[in-house]
Amino acid sequence: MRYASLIRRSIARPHVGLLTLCAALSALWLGLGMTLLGGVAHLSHQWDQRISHITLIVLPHDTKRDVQPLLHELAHLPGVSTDRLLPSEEIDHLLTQWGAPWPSPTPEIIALTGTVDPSKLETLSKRFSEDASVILPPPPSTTWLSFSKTLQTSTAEISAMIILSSSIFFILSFFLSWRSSRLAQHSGLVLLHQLGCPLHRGYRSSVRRFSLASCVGSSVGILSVLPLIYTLTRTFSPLLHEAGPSNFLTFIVSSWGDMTILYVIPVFYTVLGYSLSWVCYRLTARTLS
Amino acid sequence: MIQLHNVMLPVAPSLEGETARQPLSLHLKAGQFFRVCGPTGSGKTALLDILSLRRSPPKGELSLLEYRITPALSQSVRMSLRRQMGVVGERLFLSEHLTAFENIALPLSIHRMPRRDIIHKTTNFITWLGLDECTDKTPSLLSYTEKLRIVCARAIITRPALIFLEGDLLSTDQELLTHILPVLHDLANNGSIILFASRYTDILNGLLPSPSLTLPYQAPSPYHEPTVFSPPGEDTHTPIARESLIP
Repeated sequence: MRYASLIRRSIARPHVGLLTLCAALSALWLGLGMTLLGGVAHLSHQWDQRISHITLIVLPHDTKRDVQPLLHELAHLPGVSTDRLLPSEEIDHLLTQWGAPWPSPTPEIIALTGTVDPSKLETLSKRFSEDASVILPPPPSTTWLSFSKTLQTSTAEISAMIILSSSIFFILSFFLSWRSSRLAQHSGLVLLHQLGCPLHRGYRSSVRRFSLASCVGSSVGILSVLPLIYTLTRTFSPLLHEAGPSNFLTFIVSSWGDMTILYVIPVFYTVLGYSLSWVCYRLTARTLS
Repeated sequence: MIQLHNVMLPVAPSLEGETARQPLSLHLKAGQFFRVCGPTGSGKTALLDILSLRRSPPKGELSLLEYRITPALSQSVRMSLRRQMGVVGERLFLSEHLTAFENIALPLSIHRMPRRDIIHKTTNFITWLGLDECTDKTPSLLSYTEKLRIVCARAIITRPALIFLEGDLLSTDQELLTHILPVLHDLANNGSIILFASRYTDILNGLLPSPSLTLPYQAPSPYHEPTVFSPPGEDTHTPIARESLIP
């Protein structure tokens, strides 16, 4: 006989299977809602950046030439915020996604972000290589700006609805689980109450079980969201003009900062499950009194 | 230790005509074995429920162990009072999730007794009441008599200061009665108040004291003047500690 747990065991165990499942679904839904919000904002920003601020310098392939001096000079041009040499894998991937096969060897491409004087850029590139060509960004489009704004507004509304509905879904499932547990636990609680046992000694473990179920469920939900985000990112990478993440773990580690909010969701659900169950049991104890 | 003043006890309408309540005043001192008799619906169970804090007195004043029971009384005091009570009510209330042994041990666990004492005391009770074979059985596998014995054991295992018993239940098990009645007298001698409610006045003659109160109370005047029932002078005695009959 486990004496320490006698009081706890005199009450039926709460049924938290349903709550775990619903917490997982709710967290999955919530995660997708947040990803949609963040993803569309990121996509829109990327497109905006690409269209108006990114200049490409295409250099014919030459193994003997070192590009670093050119990159160094470009970095010192006024108006350039970042410059980078696109890796060959990214170029290959982009060309494949664009359906524009390129006969080997693949050209080298430098991407510049910022507003640069085209004539200075042209001069610098030609001095480096006669065959170098500069692809300037297109002029800003008013249609694109309004489209981007509409897209972001509607996405924010849809995400808010998703987040709200998933939260309501979790709270409703919590109350459903709690009520079914209360039915099973009622006689145990009444018995303890009649024997003069402070009820918190009885329901403390049930509260812990509810919070644990919320934690486990939401963690499973979030773990299910991550592969989905990975798949979506891979799918949308051509739209971002970027190579998709090649490795899942690398993707998670690299995007840790962007997805902090997702990792906090299980903590939020745990606290919510604990608080709700604690309040509910306290109200029950007050009713018995 | 127990004081009731003008507490209105509910009475079945068929017994009391139009009046559905009877005023009752009681004053019980430590060490008293108080016996209440009355037919069904006379208010015995209501009295036990009020005294065991399972029901609030609809009107009147109630004091238990020097505490005046009011809605403002703190929960911790109520719980403390409940821990000092042993109740064998109409319903045999056991936890379905605990074994017979654990059900008997539950009050000791609530009192935070050391594990060794819990095992020792509960084992003695189990043997004493002849429940050795149902130690590990849950209530769903026990007979009515076995459940009754467990409830009785649970009610007295902590030697509570207040013991309330539905006597009609106990009278169904003569063997249990022969075990428990001497113990109840012993507990009363050691200062506990025993309130024994039964339907018939003539049961267990010789083993129980004569009824101290018969319900429904017949008021001497149409104004329902309450009568105070106090222990008779010759019965009043100082509790004497002696060797316990409880194992």
